[in-house]
Amino acid sequence: MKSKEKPPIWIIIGWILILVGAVANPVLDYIKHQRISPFSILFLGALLAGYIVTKIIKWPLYTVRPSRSAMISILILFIIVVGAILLKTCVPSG
Amino acid sequence: MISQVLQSHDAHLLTSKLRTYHPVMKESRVTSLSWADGSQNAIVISIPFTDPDKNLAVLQYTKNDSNTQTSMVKFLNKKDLTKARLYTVENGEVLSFSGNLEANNLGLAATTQSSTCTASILIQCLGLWGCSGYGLAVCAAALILCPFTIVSCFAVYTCVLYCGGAWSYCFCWACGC
Repeated sequence: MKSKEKPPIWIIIGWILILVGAVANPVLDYIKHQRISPFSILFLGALLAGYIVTKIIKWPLYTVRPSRSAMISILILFIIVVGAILLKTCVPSG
Repeated sequence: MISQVLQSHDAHLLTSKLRTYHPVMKESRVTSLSWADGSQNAIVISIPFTDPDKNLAVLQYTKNDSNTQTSMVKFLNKKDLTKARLYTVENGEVLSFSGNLEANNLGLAATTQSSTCTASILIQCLGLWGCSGYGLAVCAAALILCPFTIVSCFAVYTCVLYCGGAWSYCFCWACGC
């Protein structure tokens, strides 16, 4: 898919959610704790780094048909993260 | 009662001196005291504070029949709770003193070590790192969008590395390693 084509609405909504979240996170941090957590800065930095890398290596900014391997990788990552949280949380301490 | 203490003028003055610290509400303790002869009653509230480097401090509020006193103790070394700096409020000004504590009762009050390995304690600990609630929701949104736009994958890697580290720390803190 050419990156000059207009992205579908759900990708635009996803981008808006993430960008608003990335900007609101440090703001909320400051309102609630009078400090900005490193996570908020790292998250914004990662988004910016990702954007710069895609521009440098000239990859399309989005695709509506991700490869099967990409989907499987993300699914495995998701299962590992959620599984680890559930497992660790549900196992009683010795 | 605890939130009233935190919102008091003296508490604001004291916590403004330790801006990087934030309260650990769940570890707060309220103790009521009464003199043996029944002459006085008092309430002591200890609210532990911690900063991103896990240094400890404690806000102590004492109220008896005649007056109230608010003070803050900042522990200079998290492994040695006998060395501390004391902050008190007098005439609207914060005074500070350094010294050794003869007993570490205050240290015990400020110790945030928890022996309860529960989901709520872990989620609360992750919240101190910015990895619960809103931060986690943003990470989930980035994860869902990752296969479709590589930019959000960078954010996901940050979430996994940072929040994974936070999780590891919190789990060891609450449940032991």
